[in-house]
Amino acid sequence: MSGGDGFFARLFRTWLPRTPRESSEAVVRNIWLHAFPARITKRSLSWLASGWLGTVSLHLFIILSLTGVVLMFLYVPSVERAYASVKDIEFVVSFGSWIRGTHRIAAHLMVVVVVLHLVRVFLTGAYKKEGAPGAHRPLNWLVGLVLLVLTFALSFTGYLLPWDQLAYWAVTVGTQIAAAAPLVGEELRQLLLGGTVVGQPTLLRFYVLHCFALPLLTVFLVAWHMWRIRKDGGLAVADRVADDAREQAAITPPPPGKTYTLMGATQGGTVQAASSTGQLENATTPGVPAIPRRSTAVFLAVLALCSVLGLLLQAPLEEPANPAVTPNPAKAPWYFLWLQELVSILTFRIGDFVVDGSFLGGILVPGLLIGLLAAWPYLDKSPAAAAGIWFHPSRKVQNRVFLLLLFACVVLTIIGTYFRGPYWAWTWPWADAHPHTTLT
Amino acid sequence: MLVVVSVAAFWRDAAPAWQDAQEQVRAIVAERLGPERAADVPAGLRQIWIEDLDRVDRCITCHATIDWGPELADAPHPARSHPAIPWLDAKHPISEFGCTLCHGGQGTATTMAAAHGDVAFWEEPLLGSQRAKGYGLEARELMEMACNRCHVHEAEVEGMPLLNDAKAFVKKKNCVRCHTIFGQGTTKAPDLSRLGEKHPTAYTFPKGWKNPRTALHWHIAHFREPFVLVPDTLMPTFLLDGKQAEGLSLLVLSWRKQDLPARYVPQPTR
Repeated sequence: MSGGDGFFARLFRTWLPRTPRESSEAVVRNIWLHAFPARITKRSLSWLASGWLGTVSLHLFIILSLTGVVLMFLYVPSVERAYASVKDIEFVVSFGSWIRGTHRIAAHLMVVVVVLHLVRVFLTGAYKKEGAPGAHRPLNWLVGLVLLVLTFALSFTGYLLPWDQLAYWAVTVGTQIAAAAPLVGEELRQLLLGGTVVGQPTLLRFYVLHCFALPLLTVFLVAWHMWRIRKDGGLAVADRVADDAREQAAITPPPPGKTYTLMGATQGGTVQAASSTGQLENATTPGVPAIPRRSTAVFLAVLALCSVLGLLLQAPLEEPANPAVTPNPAKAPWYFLWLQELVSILTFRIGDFVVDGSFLGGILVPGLLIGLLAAWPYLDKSPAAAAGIWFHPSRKVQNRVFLLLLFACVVLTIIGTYFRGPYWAWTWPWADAHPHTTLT
Repeated sequence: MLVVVSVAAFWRDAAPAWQDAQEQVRAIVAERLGPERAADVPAGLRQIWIEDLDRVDRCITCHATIDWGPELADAPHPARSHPAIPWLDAKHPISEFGCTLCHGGQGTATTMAAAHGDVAFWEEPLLGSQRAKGYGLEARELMEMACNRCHVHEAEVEGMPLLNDAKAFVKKKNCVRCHTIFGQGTTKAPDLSRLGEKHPTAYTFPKGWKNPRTALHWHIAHFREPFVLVPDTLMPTFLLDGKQAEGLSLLVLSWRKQDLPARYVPQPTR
């Protein structure tokens, strides 16, 4: 039982588990491990079942928090000092450029990975309502959707902080889209900006949102999200393992000798236990150390990737924000460019009637998409057995429609990023629309 | 992999580019003044911070011997010291003016390309001899634009021959008959008082423009043949020689709103 009286053991009042039973107990005894289940199905652990994308998202969030706290020690959220403090981080702070680069790349990756996580959950039907007591996966899908929106919000608020031209105009364009919302649009925009234009109040609001309010909310929701996974009986793929085990139990006769007498309660012979527990036992493994071990490996891989990219790819810092000089075109952050592209496509003129693309493309379409995603677990009528299976035949049509919509978003994003030049006209990525112009 | 990245990051941070420059300076000093003097070359990241002007200039990190006087006056860069200029030095100590106020460039930067401003997103590159050569000027002449950001209201300033001539020309041709310059004049033509603030990206260059795309090239061409750049212009074509057009262009580009702390406002010469 005891793991020895070494310094480590005395410091952490812990011990090294030696048997499966002790492994299970470890989960209860240790505050860090108690988040993990005592046992986990081997299929849930597999890389293919989930891609570990949710874990990767969380790890990116941790990397962002750590690098972000370092940057908070160095960054000044004022319009006079913000840009200069970022220049200082780039030029004179030890490892400043690396930390900022890692923070930026982790933020971009988090947007990508969270979206991929959503794609995985959809394609495996893992949001499906199940019959197990206490399980309600649709709720966790909704929490996940809120986390997706939070990820966008975190990234978008961070975008403004360097206070360069890129930041200033991306936020100007982004908040302009919010203004197209019916009835409350302009109020919403002014609430975000703290005024009518991007200025000091905006910077302070975005700073507090970025460094305090949104991360706090995210931590809370992530905790809830993960707790819900446990309450829902683990990953959806685990349900299939239980099914398999039940089927196996029905086919395979129970091991001989494992019989129970009912002590005269019934007449006749004995009842044989036809429990699936035995099979389930084979399909599972102690959660500790399997999960922390894999999770650590994933974390190190994610950290290494972010570090390399952060070192190699210089985080951009353009000219200081200048309200008087509008870059042409002014582009929103890349993950909103499919919206900006939609806005531009849907703005057209029929005679004297101008169709307002900013409402259609900026509010209606994304609103409908989010609403549809939120309602989908309740609309999806495929059988329960489809949950946890990639591309289950019963979900063929909805998977195709989902992938088609996703593909459209990706294509629009790529067009908006690489193929749009001055006045949002079509351009080729290799055409230099903006030759460098200097004073002398 | 993580170890490799960490080592790479430490290595990059431990050996920044400016250390090579300091080595160069030390080598030049050792060669010219002896190895014992080379030990006196200041090491480490150094900067001049002028709070009143909200400026940080880290140029002296590489140009570490800028204040070593005549000993290194003809040494190669980056070891060369600042030339002694009697009428300039007394009133413009480096400790209070820094470097970029007069020389341009990016004071906060610590790599050569970024510091000299030869990078994207930096519009006011170093007013150096290389750049001046592109206009057929001396660096000193190009820098008169920077001088005049403060000395804007003086008709004659020592060391600014090009701009003194340009100012005399503006007066003689009575430019304020059409333009407004610092509150004087009329509105027949654009107010020029803050022309130097016009962002370089706001200039439109005609098709087939051969020169580098700079605000200065635009103004030189415009002063010589206004109608070529602005077809419907009312501006007359003066028969200017190259030097005159360059002087006038530097003059208009120096016109900015300058919010100088009182002690930086030039005193009248008696």
